[in-house]
Amino acid sequence: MHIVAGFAEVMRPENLLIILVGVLAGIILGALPGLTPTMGVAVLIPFTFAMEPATGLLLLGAIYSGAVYGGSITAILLNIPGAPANVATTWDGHPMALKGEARRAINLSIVASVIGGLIGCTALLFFAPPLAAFALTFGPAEYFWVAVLGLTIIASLAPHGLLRGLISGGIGMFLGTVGISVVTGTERFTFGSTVLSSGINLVPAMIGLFAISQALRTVEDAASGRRKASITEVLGAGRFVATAMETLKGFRYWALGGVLGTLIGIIPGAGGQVAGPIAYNEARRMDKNRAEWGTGNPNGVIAPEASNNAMVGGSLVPMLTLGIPGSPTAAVLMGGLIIHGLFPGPDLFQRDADVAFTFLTGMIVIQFVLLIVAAMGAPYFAKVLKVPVQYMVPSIIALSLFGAYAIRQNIGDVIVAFVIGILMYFGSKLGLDAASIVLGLILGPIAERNLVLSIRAADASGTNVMYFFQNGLSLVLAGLIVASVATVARRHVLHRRAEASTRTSVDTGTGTGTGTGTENGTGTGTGIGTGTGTATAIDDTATDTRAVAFTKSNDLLFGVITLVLAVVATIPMALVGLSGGGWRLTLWPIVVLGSLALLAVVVLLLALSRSGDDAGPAGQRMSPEARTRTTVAVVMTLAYVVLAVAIGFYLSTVLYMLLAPFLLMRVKDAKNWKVVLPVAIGVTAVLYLSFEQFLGILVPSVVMG
Amino acid sequence: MIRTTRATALVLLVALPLAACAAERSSPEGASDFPARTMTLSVPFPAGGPTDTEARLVAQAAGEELGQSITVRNVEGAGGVVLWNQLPSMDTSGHELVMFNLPHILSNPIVTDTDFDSSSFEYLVIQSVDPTAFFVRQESPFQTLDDLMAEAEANPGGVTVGTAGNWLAHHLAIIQLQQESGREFTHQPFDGSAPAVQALLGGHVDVASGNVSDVVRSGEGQFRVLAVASEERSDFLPDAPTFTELGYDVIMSSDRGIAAPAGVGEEQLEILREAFGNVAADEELQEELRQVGSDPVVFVGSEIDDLIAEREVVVRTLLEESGELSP
Repeated sequence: MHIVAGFAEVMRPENLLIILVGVLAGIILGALPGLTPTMGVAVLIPFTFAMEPATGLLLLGAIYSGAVYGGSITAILLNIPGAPANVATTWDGHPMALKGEARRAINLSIVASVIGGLIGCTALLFFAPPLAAFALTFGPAEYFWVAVLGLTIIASLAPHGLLRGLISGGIGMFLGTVGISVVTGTERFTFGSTVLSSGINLVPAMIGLFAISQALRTVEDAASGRRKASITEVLGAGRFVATAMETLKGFRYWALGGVLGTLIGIIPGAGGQVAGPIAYNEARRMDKNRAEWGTGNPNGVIAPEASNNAMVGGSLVPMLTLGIPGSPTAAVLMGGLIIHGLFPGPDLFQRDADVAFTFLTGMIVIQFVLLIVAAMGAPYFAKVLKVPVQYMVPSIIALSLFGAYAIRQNIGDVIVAFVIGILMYFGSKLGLDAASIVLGLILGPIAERNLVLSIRAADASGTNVMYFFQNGLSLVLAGLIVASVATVARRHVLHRRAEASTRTSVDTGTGTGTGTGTENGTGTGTGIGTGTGTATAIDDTATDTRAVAFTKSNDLLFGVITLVLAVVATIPMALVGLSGGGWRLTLWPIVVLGSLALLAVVVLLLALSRSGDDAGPAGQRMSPEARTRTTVAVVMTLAYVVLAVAIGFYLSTVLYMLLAPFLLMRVKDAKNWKVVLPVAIGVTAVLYLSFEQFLGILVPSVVMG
Repeated sequence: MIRTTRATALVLLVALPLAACAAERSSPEGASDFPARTMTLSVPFPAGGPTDTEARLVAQAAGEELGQSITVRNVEGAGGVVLWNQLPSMDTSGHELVMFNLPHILSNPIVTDTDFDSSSFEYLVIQSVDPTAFFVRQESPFQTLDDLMAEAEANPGGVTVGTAGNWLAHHLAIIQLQQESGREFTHQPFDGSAPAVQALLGGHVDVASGNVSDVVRSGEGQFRVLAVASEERSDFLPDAPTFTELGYDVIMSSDRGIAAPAGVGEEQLEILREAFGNVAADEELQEELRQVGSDPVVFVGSEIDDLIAEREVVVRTLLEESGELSP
């Protein structure tokens, strides 16, 4: 009965209008890197003061749903996930765009998001109490296992091979230890710097890892004529209805994504952000055509997008039933409830049934509004690709500056974003993987905190190691980890055998006959890049299709840098240990750094065992032209940040936007001023309107004194 | 080309008035027309939490009082340190204000290397107190604080106490209780109050040390409150005994207030103190604060300075005697 009454309430014109506005605003917020769903909901809370409680909540729910979907647009078109939740969407979504199927990918993600959202919200509407009970079974041991399970994804997804993936993940976990320790509340790796004591926040890190490094890569690609023509030309005649049917047929993928996303959303604090990657990984595991994943497989868009939108409904389950928000955004929504005098918790559904059921049925209506708005907007989203590189790149960099600042209004975060962005641009040449770093950064602190809490709980209860295996859930999770590791191990054994056979044939061919004794003995990396770059295509190794062969010198450089980083970073921890500091502060960093050092040694040994140096693939070499442009781009990016701090964000943005098109590209034509000038002023004006006026974020500017 | 020109015109149409707005803002301001523009109130904790909710309510009321709107921004991280570290470099025109929490601003500088201490603030008002409470879930075998203390005696370190994090009031209350009773507990710091409450409800910690408002916000029915660390019983939980009643001298609370950065001119401070004092004393706001689980109080002027000086001694002594300050 309540559902019918709630539905009638939602269908009132003013509520529908609010939902429409919320969905639209959410999509835009979500699509912009640096502006997260959490921020969108927080900004709008004051606006809901004056509204009816139900209307206010519908607005917040609409923004939340729209924003989680919106992040997939930039993930597909630009390889820049709009929010952490959309990282996995880049893996197949962007390759689809590169193949000229941007419209199809966008349509797939719209339909998958809506289906996922419906799964999550249906679970919320009908099964909230039992699901909330499930959430409570997660204690420190279970959280630790979930985080480790998430980390095993790194090993199985790594595009540049197992070793580089693990090292990337390790670097992410190390970045996660910088700042105030999650366990002791004291500082680590800060070296007395205020910038570092704030820690490496996820959003600025993502801006650096994805947006800034991708912008620099675009300059390089454009200068070396490698930017695919298909992107700017064919956008793919993506007929919406046809794609919608195609999505629906991918039942296994959206169902799996939807259910996993709901469950992950329900577990508070497990990082709803990893719902996408986990769904992607599981969906890929059950697909026979595993090798196609990562090359633009539609199912690789469907699974993660269904999952992260299902997470929305899931994260509201513990919030509404127990008063424990399942995600940061749900926490903000809970603040919105309380301000209206609605206390979440077991009796919300009795006490304030009218508001609660209006909200719950509204969440389902919101998904349909999202479908309509996004489907109508799709042709316009795809036009982003038509923006010429010389305007696209500086706009992304400028947005990165504002976005990194906006999250905590902390200039330190801007510095972190830009330093990480430039390092990542160079790191990606050595095979560092941004997604693995992000997974490490999200999951590392969760693993650390819960490992330490578990050890202390085990001590307190005298259960010792058994604490980690004391109930069915932790056994299941530990079993999944073993299965996940076994899958990866099996794949690499197969991979190595195939490689060994290729290598033997190459060896006999050239007649050099090096080390026949090494057959299965040493290493994964050995074969890569030796022979004639034979792509060993085994069905089971999806890694290969995306793998870039690395030269021996590249391997050596990568190994040495990682080793030096790991050893140098261990020193402060060793000092803390020697001065009698607590194990709670040093245990995790030492585990992470030790593993990094070990992995680096393996990389080095494998590289040294390779015979002679060899030329890398032609694509890796840069023309002098590209080298100049890229150097200019890096220097300009740095100069922009320095200038922004010195003379304010707006003035420096206008200057940067005026100069960048000429310096980054070979734009000689003076007539271009007629475009460059308005673009520079226009972009700055849009940034001013959205940050200063809409979000109420005062960025540093000279005008403000 | 024609199309480009038209686009240029359009953009200029938008941009020029904006530039004009920006220029207008730069006009010098004296105390007479203070506050001259939109103000900001920064909150050191995530949106949606108790400090944030309170900030938004106060900001709205104070904005009306001062005739300028006050934007709330969340500068979260490291238990408040990220925001308060910005104090020395903040705008001192009086338009930028921060929320401060006791005992956080006192314990953080003792425990870590911060860029601020209690003298980095010009205190305007303390508008609420939130006493610390020990509570268990309904299924817990502990019916009373005595049950809990008996278990702690029988099994030293065997009782786990979940809190929202290190060095907060909830952590300090555990230290106080340990020093008072000679018993030992295992402190389990979570990442905020929501995960701590969740761990309690799931039976992953034996007892939670948290705010009275945590109990109220998550629904009292789920918990049993063993003791409240206030001098008198809480209005929200009239049936829950205080620690003092039960024979333990444990007094601890999270207090929330509003401050300007040190360096703001005396004239501006006068205006701000008066405005925030009026707002905190306003019946309507107090009722709204009660509704969200905060217990309204009004501390202004030298009362705050005395309170802070007193608490600083308590916090420092507690931390130094606890032996938990590892090198």
